[in-house]
Amino acid sequence: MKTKIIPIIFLLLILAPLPAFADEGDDAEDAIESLGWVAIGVGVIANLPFILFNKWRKYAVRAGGQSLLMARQAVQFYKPILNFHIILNSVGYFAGMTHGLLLVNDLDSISLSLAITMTVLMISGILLRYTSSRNTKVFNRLLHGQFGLVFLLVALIVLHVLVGDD
Amino acid sequence: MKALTLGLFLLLTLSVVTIPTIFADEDEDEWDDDDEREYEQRGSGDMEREQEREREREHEDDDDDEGLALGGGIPDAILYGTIAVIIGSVAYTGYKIYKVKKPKLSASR
Repeated sequence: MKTKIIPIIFLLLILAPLPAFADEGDDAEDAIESLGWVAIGVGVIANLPFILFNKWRKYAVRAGGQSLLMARQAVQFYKPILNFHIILNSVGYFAGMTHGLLLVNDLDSISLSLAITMTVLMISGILLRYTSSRNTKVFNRLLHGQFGLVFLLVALIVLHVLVGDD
Repeated sequence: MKALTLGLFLLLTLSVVTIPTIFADEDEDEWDDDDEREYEQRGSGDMEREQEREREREHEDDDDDEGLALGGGIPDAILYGTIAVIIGSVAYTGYKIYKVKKPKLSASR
């Protein structure tokens, strides 16, 4: 099973940024802009299912009875969904950062704020997944799931799109 | 460790695939046949002067675009707000851990 998943993920990683260049013609700046849209799209796909799955699991455990049984059965899906979340977020982060670095001449405060917030969430996610220290894990689990940071990220993305279109 | 190595390898592959594609059709600065003919016709001196003038024009355009850059009122407030929210989140997380651990420590004494 594992040997089948790895080539699929690898293929996905290579193909994910390509739609950005599909119908762009000669204008390189449009392609760079599309890279930003790829970052946003990938971010939505990576985070929505993961957040919904976790919320549903918590609700099911609290509700008990039949829902608790379903939540226990759904535990086996947690790891694949987590890996999907990590991989797509990494793709989105690097696509977003490449987009930012290539348009660094137009840097404004909103873009800088967005880059800082993305980096904080990315670092806390990496530390949460790969550190073995218990204290660091607890700290990053709390930080990574902070509603304030998630809200800030969404607000900055919306602002960035609105200001970028002008 | 194996998963980390695999992850880093995948990210490196992605970067290698993504970055060169962006520059693939950027040929504005390339030296083509028309430029060479023009260079031969007009001589290198004229060409250099024209390039210098173009550089100056670009520099002036950059100066005009500074309205959106760092230093404005509301955009600056957004940046400071972001930094404040991040510091606040880190501090709040630390405080939450401290609050949970403190009763345990005092109970063990």
